[in-house]
Amino acid sequence: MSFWQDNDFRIDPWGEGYGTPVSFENDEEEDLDVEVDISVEGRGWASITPISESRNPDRLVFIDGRRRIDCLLVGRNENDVLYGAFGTIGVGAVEVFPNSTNAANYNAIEIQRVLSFSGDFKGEPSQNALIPCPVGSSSSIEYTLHKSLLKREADPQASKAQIQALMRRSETRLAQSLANELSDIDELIILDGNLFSRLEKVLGYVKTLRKQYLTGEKSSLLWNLKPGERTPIFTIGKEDRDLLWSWYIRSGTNDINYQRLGFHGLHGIIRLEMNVSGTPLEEAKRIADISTTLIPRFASHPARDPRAPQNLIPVGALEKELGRRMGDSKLIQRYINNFLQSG
Amino acid sequence: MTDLNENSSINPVGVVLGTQEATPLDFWVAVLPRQVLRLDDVVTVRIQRPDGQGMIDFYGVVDQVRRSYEGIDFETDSFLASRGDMPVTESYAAHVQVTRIHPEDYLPPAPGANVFLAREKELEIGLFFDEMDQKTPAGKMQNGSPAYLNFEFIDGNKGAHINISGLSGVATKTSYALFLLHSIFNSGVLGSRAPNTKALIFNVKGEDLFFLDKFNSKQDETNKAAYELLKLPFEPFKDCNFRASPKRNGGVPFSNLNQRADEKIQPYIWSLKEVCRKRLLKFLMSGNDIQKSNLPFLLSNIEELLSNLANDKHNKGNSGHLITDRYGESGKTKISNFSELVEFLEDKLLGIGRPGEDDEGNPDARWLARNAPATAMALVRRLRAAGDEVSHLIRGDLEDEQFERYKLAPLAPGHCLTVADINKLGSIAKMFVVGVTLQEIFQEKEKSGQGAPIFIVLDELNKYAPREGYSPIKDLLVDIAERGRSLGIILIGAQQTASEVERRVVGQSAIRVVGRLDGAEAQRPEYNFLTGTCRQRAQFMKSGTMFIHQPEVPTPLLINFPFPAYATRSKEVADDPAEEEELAADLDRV
Repeated sequence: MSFWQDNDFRIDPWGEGYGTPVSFENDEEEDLDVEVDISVEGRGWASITPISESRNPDRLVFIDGRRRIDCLLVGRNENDVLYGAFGTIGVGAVEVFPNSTNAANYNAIEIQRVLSFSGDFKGEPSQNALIPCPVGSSSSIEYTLHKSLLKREADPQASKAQIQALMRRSETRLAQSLANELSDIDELIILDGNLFSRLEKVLGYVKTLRKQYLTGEKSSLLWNLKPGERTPIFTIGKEDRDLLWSWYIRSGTNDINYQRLGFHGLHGIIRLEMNVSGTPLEEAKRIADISTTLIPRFASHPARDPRAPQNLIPVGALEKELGRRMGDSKLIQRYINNFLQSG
Repeated sequence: MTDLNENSSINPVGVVLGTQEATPLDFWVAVLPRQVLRLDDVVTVRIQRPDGQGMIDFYGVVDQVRRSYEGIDFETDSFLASRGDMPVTESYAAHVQVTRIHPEDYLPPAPGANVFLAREKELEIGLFFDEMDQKTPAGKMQNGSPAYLNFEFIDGNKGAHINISGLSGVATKTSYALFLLHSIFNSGVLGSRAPNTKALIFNVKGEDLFFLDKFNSKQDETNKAAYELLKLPFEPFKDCNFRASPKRNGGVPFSNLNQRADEKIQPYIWSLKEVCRKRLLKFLMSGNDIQKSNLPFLLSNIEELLSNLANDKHNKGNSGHLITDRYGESGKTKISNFSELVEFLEDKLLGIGRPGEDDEGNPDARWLARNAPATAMALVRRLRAAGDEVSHLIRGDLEDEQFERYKLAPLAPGHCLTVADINKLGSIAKMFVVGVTLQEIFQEKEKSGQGAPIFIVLDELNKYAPREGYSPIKDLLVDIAERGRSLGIILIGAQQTASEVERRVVGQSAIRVVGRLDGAEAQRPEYNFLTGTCRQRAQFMKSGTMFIHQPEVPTPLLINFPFPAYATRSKEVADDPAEEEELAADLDRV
């Protein structure tokens, strides 16, 4: 028994199905020795409970994407194996108005269907694939070919990674365009996941702690963080355009927290980040303070979502909506199969 | 085939839903944003046959509508959505009961096909009004268009009889029956038969129906507009013949009414001689035990003998009494009222006043006809009880011409509507008046054959033709229900509970009407024509709202009928300008 107690093993409530997404963001991960500066806020390293409740923004925009490999392909050129995939990517936003009872609504939902190939294939794939739908509908499903999804080395994993990367790029593009449209009203854009560089005025919401930015003593603060508290802001990166403000909060409520549920001590910990360029420290502090109450407000409930409380309610709904608009994977697989057989 | 292309300029209200099965008989519609579909709306869908062999039009009536959030797993997600924290999509769907497919290719409509509200011409096609050669307005539908009944299913041409069910007081059964009569008399469906068409209404409560010839004072423009829409004249009933039961006094009969006493009101009575001649005594017998005993046998024997007596040479005179041989203790030879008739029968059946051996009575064997004395006693007892109720109705002390004047004859020329008041009568007397009148109509129509129809409005059918038990009228009503169609006798029957009325009487009605029903009653099989949610809705109906069901239209239609132009109670009587002038003139003379 002591081994368990000594190591305090607890169940990971996200479960297998949502297994921490494999990291494909090589551009981010290669940078192994990021610099972390925990002194930017100019106070000691202790949890902060914002005193005055700052006003919530009038409009929140949550951005998220989903990707699905509809069908993996294996090809052959002489004796070389080729790989490919049909993939579907959905990105979109949800608008929420926290200070009024205006209905939340979906916005800018976009579905892309893409082809990806890797290997020493003959010639250049140049055509989009038009998958005909069977009786009862005159429509067809079009998969477009992206140059960025072609790779000359055969790699069974490449397609997945490329489609994932394309999805991240689409999310970023959507966030960027919405950030550019920012009007006078007080609003905040929240992107589900890490920020790509150069994305300004957008709050990145990282719910999978893949990297330990805080080491040793410093990280003990995270285990003791309560809902409504945050860590001081620290910076990640070097003194150039990639510098990010970042802080941790604990999502959930006083009734629903890791202690009551008996989960591990990092359950519900979320890291938020913003680009330093475009956001002065004072603004970052204000948003950090808001985030301690705003994020828990949209926290999901464990009965609804195994990824509670980290997965936000609007994002959960958006994921479902995206899945709905991506179409039925079984049917699409069947169509693709017919298409490949007849082609 | 209608051309729905005129619809192309109109926006569809929705599309055929693809998540629920669409069948040729019913389907669901997904309602488009900012569009409305309500219960009772009529819709139309046009599809192309999958094999390209032409187009098919579906018509149907919405019988259920629902709205829900889709894509949420938890009921409490509704809180999140209403707070604005969770985006949801709302689904608004309507279920359509198909009423007609044109041409009759029973394919299902295609999911995703556009659905339009049916208007004017399509509405008529959808509800088969276009195929009705003779149609009479039945009221206004929820969408503001008139609804019609096919008169060929009322007057006996293809079917006959109307049956109205509903709770007392809220279902407005009588008012609707009156509206239908007004509609039939004034819509032109009667054509050349109009002058000879008759209606008879038995007034069973209050004196409400004695003002049908007066304008109703409670009127507003919407009522007039409703009449205009239905193309019916805004006027009271004409040619009314008001008949009431007589007061319980001897001498000249006066009608027993409190609220109206002008020369238009006449009492009705029967002569004793006629009752015997026509064998009408059986209409004084009702009750469940009659059939289980020997009474009917004894009764028919007595009726036979009385009929012979009334027809013999001593009774050729022009008066209502009967001349007999001596009877009773005082040795009378004349029966001039009902109690003397009972006395006479007592003498014949029990031998009272003719002492026999051992002080027992000495009954007349010809009259008793081998029945037990107990049976005779029972019969006399019943007749005596009936005598209390009918002694002022059945009289022998007047002359034939008076009886002729006071005869309740709904088929007589000169009037088209007869209102007969039976509300002040006891239950035996009610039974007698209704039974005798119906039998006379029946016999007269059997003789003359089908000419112009007569409509008989009878409320409380469960009393006159009960499902359980016996009533002398039950057989008559069953007869009218089954054969009246060919004789032109049309029953507009009403009752609170159709489940308690003899099945054949209700079952023979081509037109079924339902007002507000009691919840338990609504579940009974008699109302199986109420499809879908109509049974539930029948428990929430307002006054003036009815479901009508007719053979050609496979779904019940919800209609409102306008507030009447005629007064249905004394309070509603509008001042008649002509009468006012006359009064003023009289005053001037004074």
